[in-house]
This record gives sequence, C-alpha cells and structure tokens, in this order.
Amino acid sequence: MPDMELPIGPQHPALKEPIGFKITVEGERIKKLDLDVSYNHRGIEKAVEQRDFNQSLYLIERICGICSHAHAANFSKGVEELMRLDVPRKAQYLRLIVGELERIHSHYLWVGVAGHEIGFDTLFMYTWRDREMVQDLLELISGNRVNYAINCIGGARRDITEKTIKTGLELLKKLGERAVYYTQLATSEETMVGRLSGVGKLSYEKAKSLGSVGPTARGSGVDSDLRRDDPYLAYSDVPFKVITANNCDVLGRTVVRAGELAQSIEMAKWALQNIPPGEIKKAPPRQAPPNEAVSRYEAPRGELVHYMKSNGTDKCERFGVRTPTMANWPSVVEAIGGQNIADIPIIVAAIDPCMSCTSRMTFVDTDRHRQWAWTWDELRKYGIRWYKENKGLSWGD
Amino acid sequence: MLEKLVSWARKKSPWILLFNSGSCNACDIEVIAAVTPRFDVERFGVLVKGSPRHADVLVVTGPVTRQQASRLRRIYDQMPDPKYVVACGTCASTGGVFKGLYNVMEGVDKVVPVDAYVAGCPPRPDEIIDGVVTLLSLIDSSDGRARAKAREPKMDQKQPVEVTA
Amino acid sequence: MTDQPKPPENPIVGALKQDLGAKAVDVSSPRARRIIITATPQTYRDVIKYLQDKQGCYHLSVIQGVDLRTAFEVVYHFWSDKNLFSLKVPLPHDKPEIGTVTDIVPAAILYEREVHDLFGINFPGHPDLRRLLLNDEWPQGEHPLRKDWKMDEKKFYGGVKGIKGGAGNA
Repeated sequence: MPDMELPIGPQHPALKEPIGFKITVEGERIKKLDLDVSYNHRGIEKAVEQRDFNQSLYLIERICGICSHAHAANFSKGVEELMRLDVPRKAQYLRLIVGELERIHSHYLWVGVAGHEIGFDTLFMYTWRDREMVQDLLELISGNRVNYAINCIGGARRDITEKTIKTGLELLKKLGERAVYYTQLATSEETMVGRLSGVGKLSYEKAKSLGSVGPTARGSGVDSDLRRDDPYLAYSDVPFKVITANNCDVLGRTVVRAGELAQSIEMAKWALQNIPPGEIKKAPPRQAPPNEAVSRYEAPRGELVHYMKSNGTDKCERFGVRTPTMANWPSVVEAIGGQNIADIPIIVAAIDPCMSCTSRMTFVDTDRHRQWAWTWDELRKYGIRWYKENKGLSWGD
Repeated sequence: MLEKLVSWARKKSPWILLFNSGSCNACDIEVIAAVTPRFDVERFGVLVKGSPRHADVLVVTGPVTRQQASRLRRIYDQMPDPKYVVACGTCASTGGVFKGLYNVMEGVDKVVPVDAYVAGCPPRPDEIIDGVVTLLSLIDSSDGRARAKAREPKMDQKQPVEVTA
Repeated sequence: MTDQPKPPENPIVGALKQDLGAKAVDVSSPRARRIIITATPQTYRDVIKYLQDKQGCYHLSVIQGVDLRTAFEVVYHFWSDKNLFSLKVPLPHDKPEIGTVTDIVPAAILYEREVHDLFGINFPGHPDLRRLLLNDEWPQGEHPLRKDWKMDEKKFYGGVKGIKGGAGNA
C-alpha cells in the first residue's frame, strides 16, 4: 500500500522539536508507528571535535534548552574526569542546586504540556505561572532564565550570596505548597485519571529490555535512578527518595513526575541550607591528557550519556551524546501499539520528549483503504473530542 | 478608508504561527511563556494558531536545519498575504552557536525574507513582545516598510546549483 | 593539575579476566563503576551474553562509533546497577562491519541505525537499517562523522538549492 505524505505546516503552541510520524491504523486502533527524527540533527558531535573545551561548552549547553544545565554539567564533569581534576565541593553544590531547580521547572513544564494535550488548558496556565517563580530564582542565581551557564570547566561560574539563599528558600516553600495541589490533581482527579489510566501500557519487562530511562521506566516499576546508583556531583550527601510507580501506564509516569517534583523541592532546600564554604572554581589545564570518560547524568527526562575521548590537545577526539529521549523512543513505539488514535498525543507526551511536534503526520487505514494527513493540533483536538463523546470525559469547554 | 480599517484590524490582532526549524527549544518555551499569565501576550490580541493559512506572522526559531529548510519555505509560501516573519533568537538571525555546522543553513533570512529580528539566547518573553510590537508599527507604515533582502531559492531545479562564495 | 594516586583496582576486573579468558583482549577499570573490556568481532556476542547473564547487565545505555583513523571501533555501554561496562570492538577501516545485536539486546535498534548513518558501519541482520538522523536528500555514502570526511562544495546536501549552508569546519 503506497503511503502518501503531505507536508502540512506546523503544529501546536506548546511545541518543541519537530518529528515526523507515519502511522498505520485499522479503524481506530494503531497497528504500526514509524518515526522520522532527522529534523533536528545539527551536526554538533562533529563541531565539538573542532572547538576547544570552553567553546564546546557553550555549544553543548544548547543541545537542549529545557535541560541545558544537564548537558553542560555532564560535559564539564566529563572533561574534569579526563583532566583528572578535583572540583571544589561548593561548586558541586551549586551545580546540584541548579540541576534540581532545572528538574522542577522541567516537570512543571511537562505537567502543563500534558494538561494541554488532554484539553485541560487551565492546568497549563496554572503550572506555567508557578514555573515563573522557578525562573526568577534561576535568574537570581545565574543571571538568565534559560541557558544558565552556571558551569565552567573546573567549577561554577558565579557564586551565591546569602540574600539569594534566603529568597530561594522562601520561593521554594511557596512552590512546595503548590506542588501538593498538583500531586493530588495528578493522582486523584477523576477526569485526569480517566484520560491517563490504562493508556500507553509499557510492562516492566519491556521497559527494561527496550532501554527506557527516567520517569518512563520508573513509571513501570523499574527502580533505577543515577543520582542514587551512580552518584555524581554532591548527590551522595543529599537525602532523597527514588519515586517509582507500578501502574505501567501514562498515569504511572505522571505520578512519578509529580513525586519527583516534590522531592526536588526538598533537595534544593536542603542543598541551599547546607552549602559548604570555599572556592567555587579550580583553574583547569589548557589541554587534557589522552584519556576517555563516560559521563552520565540523571536529566529530567532520564539518563543522559556523554562519551568523550581526549588526545593530549585542547579538543575532544570524539564526543558522543545520547539524549534520554532517544532511549525512550522504542518504548513509545511499543506503548502505542493497539491503542486508540485519540491517545497518541498523551502517550508521546508521556515520555516528555525533548521533541514533541510533528511537522507532518500521515495515517494509513488498511481496513477502510483510506489515508489522510493531520497536524499535531488536529490530532490533539480529535483526542479531546473522542474522549468527550465516547467516555464523557471533558473539562466542560 | 477601508484600508485604514483593515490595517487597524491587522495591527490589533496579529495571529502567530510558531515554527521550530531545529532549535534547542529555549526560544520556543520563551514564546510559550509569553502566552502564559505572567506576560500574557493575548491581551495584545495575539493568538498562537496551528495552521499557516490562518496566520499573519510567522515566528521562526532555530538555525534552520537542512531537513526543515524546504519545509520552512513551503510554509511561508502557504501563508496568505500580507505576511510577516520574525526571526526569534540569535540562532534564527545568524546561526548563533551553530554557525559552521554541517547540517544548518545558518539563519532564517537565507530561506525566507525576514521583517524583524529579536536577539537573545533565548530572548526573554518581554523582549519577544517588544519584537512583536515593533513589527506592529511596521504594519502601520506598510508602504515604506523595510524588508530584508532575501535570496529567492529556486525550488524546482533538478540540478544542484553551482555554489559560489 | 592534581596528581591523584591511582585508585585501587576494582576487584571485579580479576574475576572478569578469569571468566572471559581469551574472549576479552583486555579488561581495565579507569575509576569506580567503570570497566572497559576490549573484545574481537568473533567474541563480542559471547561477552555480551556473559555480561547479561552473569554480571546483571539489563540496560544498554548506548552504542557509539569511533573513528580511530586506522580502524573503526564500536563501543557498547551496558549498565548493571553497580558498574558500567564499556565493550569495545575494533573493526577494519576499509570494510567496517559487525553483526547486529538486536536479537539479544532489543534496545540496540535505534543506536545501530545512528552509527550506520553517521559512520557507515554496516550491521548485517538488523531488521531496518535505514537513515536515522541525516535528511532525505543527503547523498548516499557520505558519512559526516568520519575523520576524513569533508563537505564537497559541488554536491547538494539537502535544504534549499542554491543556498550554501554550514560547512562543518567552524
């Protein structure tokens, strides 16, 4: 059966990087999903081989704008490992604080986007309004709302003042109270549970064998978190719990993220209260001896891996990135099989892709011998309408 | 007289289409943050739409990757006249940190003509609103508006063009 | 630069050397929780099965390709909740080819496509070895992450014809 692909322009407001989907359906049920992820390839790995470590840091921070600190911190600590450099404890704490704040802002962003995908726009507006508080704190600490550049090779770029710590603790206290509301919403509000429960099933065995990471894996009961199992920065000091859920569906992933939000707020508070005194930076050497390192980081979306090799010069010989979203794509393909078309937006959004919008999406119905093409927005509206008509679940608008 | 009314209507309520041409998403989330309660760009009449046929303003983020370049051109061609393009962020303006990478076109103005550039990495939502407001003042004086000179790419050529410079 | 004393050897290295014997050309541990094993194209599958069965490696982190100029190398990173095992397999430079592992490690499906796309390493037996990251109009046979690759000024690499994009030599 020939598949016709029509480019119909973009897509919906809360969008991130573009992907192409090709979906084979039988009536309402999905038989096969094929994805095209070439839209965002820029050629960063090659460019890092031609730039020295400091220049590369600015480039690597912009691999992703939402988890930019994850990439930058992971690269910095990998290069410090290549150079066999000891970084001062205070710098590790500063990186940890910004890392946890980034996790908070990313999870708030996700809750809003998930709400938008299922038609709950009020939740989108609420969470993004609260997220602004996190952005304010990040701006106080680092000077920018996004792309904080708090890392440099050898430590942190900027120190933190007593006044900032005090403001930070107050903001986090307010955020903590709001987070309780969102956790309750995610786990017990009837319409949300109706939309999210039983959707996008990913069993424990499949989650493990397909290599899924982060909240996607933890929502299926896989008890793995790099902050506890492969500790880095100052995570071995900070007390925290790893949140898992046994639902194995989108509701499980939502519960995990809501729990992590609350945990991160506590961790950031603890770290702000217990920052050790000292230097924030240690001057690195210009060149790194021949060495190799595998640097891993628990980004908001899961395990981030940077593989780097040095060769005695001030540039990397090889630099390889594996983002957590790439690791989670096979599980989307698995979770979407046999589901309804109406559930596609939330299943894809549930892995929190650092790429969410399709520039073209084609459907091939082998049953009724027809094919059509939709934008993401049309698919999203279809899902909301389907649930309203068939299950009576809607937010009354 | 009718022209004045139409111009006022366009100025008071520009509908935006957001196009991500391979960016890191920072600019996109700042544009979305402009829609949320803290900055609330909807009070200016700005709505974010989903289809090029409904939009007046195309906001492009990201250094244009090769895969997205032809699609960007096609989206631009599908938009009805008069249309305006805002290049949001340093990457969209000149390529930013991605200058020289093998898979980017280095700037939106290489593919479509641009009316306003908003610099920043990423630009704050207030700066993006400032860019949109500047664009609105351009719409007012629509006869003498300054438009970036764009090269017209030849989409229907079968042979690759000999590249100079 | 600090001169750190070499950390005590990870006790697992000795056990690995004994169990794998001739299958592993080299086993070393640069730091805590990192083990590097070098194998050959004939023995790598046995090493992977050993890591899965006896060392508890349930998670494939990533498969990376490396161009060493005189040879290629495919590196498999496995995680076992205690250690990260990096399995390196060197391949000849003129015809880099290594059998797929998607039958024993389902998570490998996208990573092998990426290495194939960017390096030109072939994975016979892979169910669907299509292009993953490079765009549709990128010429066949051009693998940008190879060290000897340079952008050809005359060719069209995708995008909009007549407009020169970035050249990869920043």
